[in-house]
Amino acid sequence: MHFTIVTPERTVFNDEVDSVTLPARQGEITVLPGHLPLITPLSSGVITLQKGKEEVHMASSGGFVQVLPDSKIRVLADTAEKAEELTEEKVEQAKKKAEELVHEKRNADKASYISALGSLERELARLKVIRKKKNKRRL
Amino acid sequence: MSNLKDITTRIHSIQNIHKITKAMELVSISKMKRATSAVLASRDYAGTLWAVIDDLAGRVNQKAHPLLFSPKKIKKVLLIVMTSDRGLCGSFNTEIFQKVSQFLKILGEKRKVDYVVIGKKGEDRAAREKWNVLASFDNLSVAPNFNDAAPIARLATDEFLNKKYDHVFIIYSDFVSTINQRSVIHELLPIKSSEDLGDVESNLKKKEKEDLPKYSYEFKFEPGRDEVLEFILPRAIQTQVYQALLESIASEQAARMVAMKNASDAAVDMVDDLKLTFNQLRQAAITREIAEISTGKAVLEEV
Repeated sequence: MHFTIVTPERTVFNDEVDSVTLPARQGEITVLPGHLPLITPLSSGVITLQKGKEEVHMASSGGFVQVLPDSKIRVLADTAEKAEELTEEKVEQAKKKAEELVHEKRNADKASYISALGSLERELARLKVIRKKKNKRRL
Repeated sequence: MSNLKDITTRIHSIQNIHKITKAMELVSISKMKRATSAVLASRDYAGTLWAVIDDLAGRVNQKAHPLLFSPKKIKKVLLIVMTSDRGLCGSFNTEIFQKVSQFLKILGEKRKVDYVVIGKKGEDRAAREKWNVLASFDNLSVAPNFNDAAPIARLATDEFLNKKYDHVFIIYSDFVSTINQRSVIHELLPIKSSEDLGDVESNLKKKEKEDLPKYSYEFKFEPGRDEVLEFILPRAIQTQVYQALLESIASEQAARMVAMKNASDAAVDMVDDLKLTFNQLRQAAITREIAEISTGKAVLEEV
């Protein structure tokens, strides 16, 4: 299966994989070869690619996935990073900022509250990706 | 021509200006490169997004989503004008303003036009011309990210959905090449199907038709087609704004680069000219002195 993930700023990943696990809005889905053509939005979360025994984790937010019939999978996301591109410190800081923002905007209008929640979700997904990578090292 | 000292001072000041313009030229080159590579990087995303929208919009009715719906009568128009924050970039901003006045002529006086202005130069112009400005954005970064386009896109979308405007247009400078930028006008809202996509996508479209397979099969939409449309359309608008921003920045830097290159060349020419005059004057002064000395000597010999 060919998997690509692109953001408006760059192409993050573009290679062959065996399976892809994605955080769809309706719940996590795993795409294997021969999947039905599908388009569905994704929530902020972790995308896991499997190639042989190797696993790659990526954090993405605000995207959707397009599964094409010839086992091509394309994710278009607002942001996406591989685990090695993220540093825990920075993400931890960003998370704190996002938490404060959510707190601040609790009584503000709905749109800005939702966008604050969105950025918090994004940072949480990034943290998850970092933790996953760390755990793997310990094993 | 004035005396020798004046000329040396002029030569020095022109050389200093030359240093500045040369430095600005080099800075513009690197900024332009960054902006153009960002445009190229965003094309992948935009291409796929439009392929999906085409696929969706081709199958759904114009009324399926309010962002696709265009009213027959155009009464109120929102115009997004992209200009630069700084000057010294040749005719970059002038061309944008020319495009605006051309477009206003086409629209006629009966239609009400409001503006969203991007860049300080545009704000100055808006104040002078007494434009009705809905919002203005300045100090955008030279390398904007996707989120920087969000407030502009959201503003346009909200106003359109509230039926405050029937159409939203965006005027920006399209980066064709380093020496060629074209100010273009592009319809942002309502979203049109592929045949009449504007300039940002026109080249893309051609490329994409060759690259991407034609969809002869049915996609399954989770949770449903409308929800997917609801999710994708705002991103399409934001992508267009983002690409227009990048094109505009690349054009601005290219225009500045050319302007600064001309200024640097002119400075070199002027210095050459002045040096020639300086040497002529110096030679004349020496000749005069020799003449004076030899006349003096001749006079003494006669006595």
